[in-house]
Amino acid sequence: MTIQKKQTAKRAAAGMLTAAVILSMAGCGSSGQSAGNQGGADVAGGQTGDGKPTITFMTTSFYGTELKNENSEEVIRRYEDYTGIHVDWKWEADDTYKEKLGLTLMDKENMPMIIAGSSVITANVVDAARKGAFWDLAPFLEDKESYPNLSQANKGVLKSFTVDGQVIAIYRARELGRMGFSYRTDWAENLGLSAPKTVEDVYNMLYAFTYNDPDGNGQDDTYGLEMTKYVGPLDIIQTWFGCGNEWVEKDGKLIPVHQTEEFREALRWMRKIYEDGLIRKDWATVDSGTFGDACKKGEAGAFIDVMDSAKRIWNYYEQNDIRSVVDPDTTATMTLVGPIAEKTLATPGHNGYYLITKAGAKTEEDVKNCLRYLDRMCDDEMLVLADYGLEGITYDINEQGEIVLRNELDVTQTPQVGLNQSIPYIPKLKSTNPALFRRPSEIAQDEAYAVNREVAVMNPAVGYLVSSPVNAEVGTDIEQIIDDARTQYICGQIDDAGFDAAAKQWLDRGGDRLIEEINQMYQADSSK
Amino acid sequence: MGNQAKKVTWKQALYAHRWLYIMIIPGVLYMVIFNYLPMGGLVMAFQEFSPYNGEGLFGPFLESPFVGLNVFRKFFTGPDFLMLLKNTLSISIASLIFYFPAPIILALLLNELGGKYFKRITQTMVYIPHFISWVIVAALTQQMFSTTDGFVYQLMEQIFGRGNGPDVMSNPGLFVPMLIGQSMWKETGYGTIIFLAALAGVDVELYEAAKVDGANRWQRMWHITLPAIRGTIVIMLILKVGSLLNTGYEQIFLMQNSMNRGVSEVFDTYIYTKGVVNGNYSLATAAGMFKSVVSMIMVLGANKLAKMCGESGFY
Amino acid sequence: MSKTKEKGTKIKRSPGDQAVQVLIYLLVAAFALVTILPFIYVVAGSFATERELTERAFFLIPKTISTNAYQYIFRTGDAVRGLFNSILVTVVGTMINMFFSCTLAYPLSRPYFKGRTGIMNMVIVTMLFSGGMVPSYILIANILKMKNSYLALWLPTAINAFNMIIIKNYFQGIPMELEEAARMDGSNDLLTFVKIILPLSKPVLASVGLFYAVSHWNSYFNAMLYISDSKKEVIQIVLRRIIFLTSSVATEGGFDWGAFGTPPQKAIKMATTVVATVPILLVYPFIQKFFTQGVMVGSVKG
Repeated sequence: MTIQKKQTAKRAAAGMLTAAVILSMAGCGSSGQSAGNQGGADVAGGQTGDGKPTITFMTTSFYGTELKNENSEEVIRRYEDYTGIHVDWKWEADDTYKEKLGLTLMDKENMPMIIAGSSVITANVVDAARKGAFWDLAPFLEDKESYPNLSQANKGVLKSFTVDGQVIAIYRARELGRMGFSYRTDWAENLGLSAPKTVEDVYNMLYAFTYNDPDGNGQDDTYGLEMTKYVGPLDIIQTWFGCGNEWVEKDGKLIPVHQTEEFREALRWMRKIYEDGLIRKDWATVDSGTFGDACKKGEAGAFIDVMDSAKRIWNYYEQNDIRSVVDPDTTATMTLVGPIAEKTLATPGHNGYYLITKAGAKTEEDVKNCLRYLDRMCDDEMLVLADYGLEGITYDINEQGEIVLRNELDVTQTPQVGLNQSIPYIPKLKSTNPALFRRPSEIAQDEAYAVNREVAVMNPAVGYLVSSPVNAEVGTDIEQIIDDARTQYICGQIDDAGFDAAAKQWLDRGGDRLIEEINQMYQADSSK
Repeated sequence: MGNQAKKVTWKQALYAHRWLYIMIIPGVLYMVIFNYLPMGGLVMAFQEFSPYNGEGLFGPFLESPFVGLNVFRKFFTGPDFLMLLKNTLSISIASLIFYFPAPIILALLLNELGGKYFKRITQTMVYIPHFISWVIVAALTQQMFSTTDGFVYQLMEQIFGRGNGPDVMSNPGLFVPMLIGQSMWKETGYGTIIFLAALAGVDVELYEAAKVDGANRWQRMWHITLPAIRGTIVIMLILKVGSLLNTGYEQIFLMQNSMNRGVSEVFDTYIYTKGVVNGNYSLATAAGMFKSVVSMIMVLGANKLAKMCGESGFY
Repeated sequence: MSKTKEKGTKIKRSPGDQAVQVLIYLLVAAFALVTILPFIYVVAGSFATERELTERAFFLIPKTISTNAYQYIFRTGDAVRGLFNSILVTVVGTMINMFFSCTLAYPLSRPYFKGRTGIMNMVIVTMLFSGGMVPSYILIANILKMKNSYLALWLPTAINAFNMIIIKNYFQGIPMELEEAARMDGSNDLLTFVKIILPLSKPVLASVGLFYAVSHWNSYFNAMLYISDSKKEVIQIVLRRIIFLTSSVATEGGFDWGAFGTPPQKAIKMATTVVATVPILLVYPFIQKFFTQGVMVGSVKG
């Protein structure tokens, strides 16, 4: 390159650089007005032009297009009219939400009124709660008149969000009875098996699926239970043996389930099915993202997890035209059994929570507005709006009065996308009037839920674990010890002595202090 | 120009090279603002830090209780520390011995190639894996080495016998080799770039002259090629030694499971779990600071060693 | 003028040496094959049906070609806009990087520069110590108010100390005679830098420029943390979101794909890899010519 060209190139580069810097400055300036940037402490508690009170709401953004699509304005108008509240949304990307949560707690000037969180509350949040960051919602929730929906919140689940006696969050409801046992209908039919009821029935079914050629192709290419490194199914199986859900009450005390004899029985059973070849030998290394694939591929026939995953396998057979091995004119289906030995694992009953901050919601009036929004959004009309959209645009009503989705728009383009992130779904998980039209697989799923709900085993210690400092300190670490030991035992890497050693390690690493602390809280808890 | 007189005042030196001082302003400003200011956050390592303490943005830093070296003490005496140290070191040292030479060797081989198109094409091919995310690499590894249906595993079984193939996914003894293998696949090609750039500065006529003098391939490599990249190798080595306690978190996090956790839990995964997921900023900062101090000692030590051997090092 | 190595040098090779040459070719070819096969699988998979990906473990050519995954990715303008944004961020970012890095590196490479050791120490410290994400976030978002601006992606990472040191060392390696000759011709430090040193540094500028560019292209964490305007998203964010939306995890969390039909999850994962990497891959062949030997020839003479 000649010197002149170099000079020109440099000048051009400098010019571009300046231009770019100016452009981004402009971008910087305009971002002050964008919905994503909450500099507006003055907006909190204020009024909008049409007199509605305003609340600020921080929640997870999965799509990037939340409430910004065509017809979204109509959706916004509807919920504002219905609830009488204007919402200033603060959407934060899911990938960095945890980081953002911590950072938001640091910035008291710009604290939103409602902060959504996912799964359980973390040590950060508990600590902030102890320092008075959030309103105690217990007195508000007693008010059945003002909050007909929220006041029906399940007391047991609320325990997970009680710190030092204060209810610091409303939970986002999730089906309790989600987990259970399912199997491939046509394989069972082919082998003359009926729906299993006991653990032994399950064993026989798994054995038959592995060795009796359920798909009738003369080849030894099938096995019983699908397993990946995700150990949820093991927790479910354990409940069949009666050992409980993480903690169980014995003789008036709470102990961790791995100390029970029933747990050891379950362990031995699980090891047996491994040794007998009813699950794949390298299950502990398989990517959990592929869970469900073995059933879809026709390699495995039994599936233990949430019922809607089984439903999804059923849908896969339908969509991909996988034929039944007994009746080639129909597609394969899954039978969603649910509980075995009349027991199954309960979910925590929640899938996230909503905190109401004192720095954001400065007056009781603000709190009431927040709660009013959350409560009214649980009514049928709003559930339909948030879950299904607008009639004539995203769905129609058929002659039976059921909602039939049009499925024309991509999820990220629907007018209502994101709205359901702000609904607690208490007491109903979906609208019943009008209700959604359901396919056979969905009907089966709902029925299984109902059956599961009756017998699902809950974790009695869930409320105490949240407020326990010992749990915050060592909880996940020591849980890992037992999980790893369980896997190693099943695969034959260790035996009973090895598991005993792991159990002892659990105690030594803080487990004994945990038991003590949990039981202290258990005894002191008058409402149990 | 000759040697400058030793007695040059500061002012004179500054003026004589005023452009250099002006040039350096952006860089120094950058470091002060974006590197040194945030270093204030290191106080978290000495505090029981909680985001909700105090008022305003700096409140948590000012109000969180000062606990001196408590956090460090807990970290060092905790049950995990030795295991983390052992795991981290075994991975780093293995990486130093096996992975470090790979890009150099490949660069040397590429340098020996004559065909222009063959060279260009293979160079582009080997550098592709760098752009494939660890998520995909982990998924592919599992697919290939699965003891049930991994096709590479099945190939290995042909050689070693049924059931005797290398179970890289769950065998703790194979975890480190598996990690190194992945790194070699993914990063060797990209790693050659820096050496190839250094080699581009070599005068072609030196090679011609050497050939005329009857030097064979290995002599040419020893006397011309290697010296050309020696400086670069030394720098990379110093840096690698300085990163002894860094393993990166993503690759290991993806390949961890119940079976190999005893060897796969390292400082970086620990810091991620405690710092981000559990929100224990104090511990994460303290652990990070520990790593930094060790890094600094290693880098300065290695640099001094390099200087003693006559290399230029960092300065 | 620069010469490239001529094909078929006139010196005869011994048979032993020829064998070694062949061996070298084989080794390189073998390694290249090993590195590229998985990528071919990813490309093939991106054009395959979901069913084939579920059933077949590994293949180089799909039995049925399907562009569903790509249709899905490009069905909205997000991906295209993401690509443009990424290009903008990468190009401008790299220029900023090179400007800051070179201007810092040059003075440090001059032995007569007073304050050299002091500033070099400063640099080394920044390489080793860091306050972490929290203070950086407060600085960038709250104090400097760069939230939602590309400045947050360009300025905080303006200098990578290691890259800067690479450049500095290269500058140091340029023979002093050249500088002295220029000085005798009346050139000052700035002109020497621009007219003599930089043109001779093409290999290092090209390679470090590539390093910076790749780093910008691949980065997503900072973009995720600081950019909230969906129109400003870079391609990695767009793609990550697509992968998340179509993963099983998404369906766990309470929103149901059943309503709107299942997208081809595995194929999409592969297609996003292809879309994310192909653009930056194409840069390397253009840079390669700077790595050709003999770029330095003629610079010392006269």
